[in-house]
Amino acid sequence: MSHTCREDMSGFDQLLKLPPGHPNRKVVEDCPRCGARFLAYRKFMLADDLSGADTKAAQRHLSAFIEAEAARSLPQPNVSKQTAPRARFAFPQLRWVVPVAAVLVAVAIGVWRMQPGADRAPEVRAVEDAASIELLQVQLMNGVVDLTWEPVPTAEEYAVRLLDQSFAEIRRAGPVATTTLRVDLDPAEGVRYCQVVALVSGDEIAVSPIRRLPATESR
Amino acid sequence: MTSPERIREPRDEAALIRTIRAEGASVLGRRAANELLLPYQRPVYLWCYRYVNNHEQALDLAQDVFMRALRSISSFEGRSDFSLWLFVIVRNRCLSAIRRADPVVDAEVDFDDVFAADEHANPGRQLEDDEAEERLLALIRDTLDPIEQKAVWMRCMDRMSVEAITEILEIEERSGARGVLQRARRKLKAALEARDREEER
Ligand SMILES: [Zn+2]
Repeated sequence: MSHTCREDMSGFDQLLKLPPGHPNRKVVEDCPRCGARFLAYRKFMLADDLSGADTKAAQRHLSAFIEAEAARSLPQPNVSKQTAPRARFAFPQLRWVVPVAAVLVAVAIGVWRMQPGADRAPEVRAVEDAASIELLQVQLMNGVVDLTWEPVPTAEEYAVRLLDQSFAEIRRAGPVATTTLRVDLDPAEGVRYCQVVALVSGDEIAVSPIRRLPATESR
Repeated sequence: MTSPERIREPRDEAALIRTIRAEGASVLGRRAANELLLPYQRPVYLWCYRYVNNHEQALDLAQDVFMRALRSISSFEGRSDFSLWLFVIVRNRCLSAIRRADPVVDAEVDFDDVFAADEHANPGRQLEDDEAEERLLALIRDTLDPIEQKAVWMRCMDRMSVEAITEILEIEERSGARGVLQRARRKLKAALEARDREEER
């Protein structure tokens, strides 16, 4: 059976549901590139124990993380129903511009999707393209944390989120226009993690991974 | 393949994702996100652990994976199973983490010196180059048996540890993937030397 490599792993989920030895599955397993990825996905799903790994502790930690992060990362629900006063539109006669632009963007995306090849793992690419800030340095010394990060081209300014042990935000430091910030920590605050966020007009456009503070001195 | 296929019990993940997309960060949306991601905590953490072999670093990586998943989940349209979508994220995160770290070369099972003779097939030198990848693929297909091919691919392109390769390929020989990779090194070296002799003639 001939085989064309699947760069994006599309269809591997369906192949995994086929019994081992099924010809469609076998042809993929036999390819060095696809086989390596397919068997890796299979192992991921099996989630067998690994010596040295502490899955119980990991699950406790990640449950707390996901609980806190969902509130930050998921889009705010039903913004239009919010009771908070909303900014007045500066040019009421141009109110139609925003919905029309939204429709045009949606149509453009639809057309783009119909292009041959545009369907190549678009779901996954969306995640990889999601703006992310690379932390270059997080250093804690004498109760002062020094952070340095890679610039985000479109960012106007940056802030640093300081989180407690259950990943709840204690406070923010900044904003600053530079890509480095020094933050004084009060041990009583209980800061355990930090994260850099890039801002445009106060809106978040990218975030760094959440990093635990490297030393225990501030705890 | 000794262990039975164990695929997660059927859950209506599509319904959970619909709820998340509709409800966002509301109580309902957050609850759906927790329910959706709960069974993946273990596989994501273990996958990260395979790469960094350290509990705390694996947690940091896993956090990053879940954060990215949560930030992108409202754009997930269900063209694949959620598990595959998440696996692609975790795999890519681990690869970029390992590429950023200082490489530790294990001369017994790494191939930099072998491929140095064949710079077009050198994945270390031209990782992003599709042509280099194709040439490596052709070379190992022509030279190695199926298990060796996959072991070399996992080592060179997916930057996996010997232990992880042993486990994923379920290699039962005592020396595990180390033995397989050593054998592959010898075969590839011999094949490249033979090719060079051929070209000189
Ligand atoms: Zn293939």
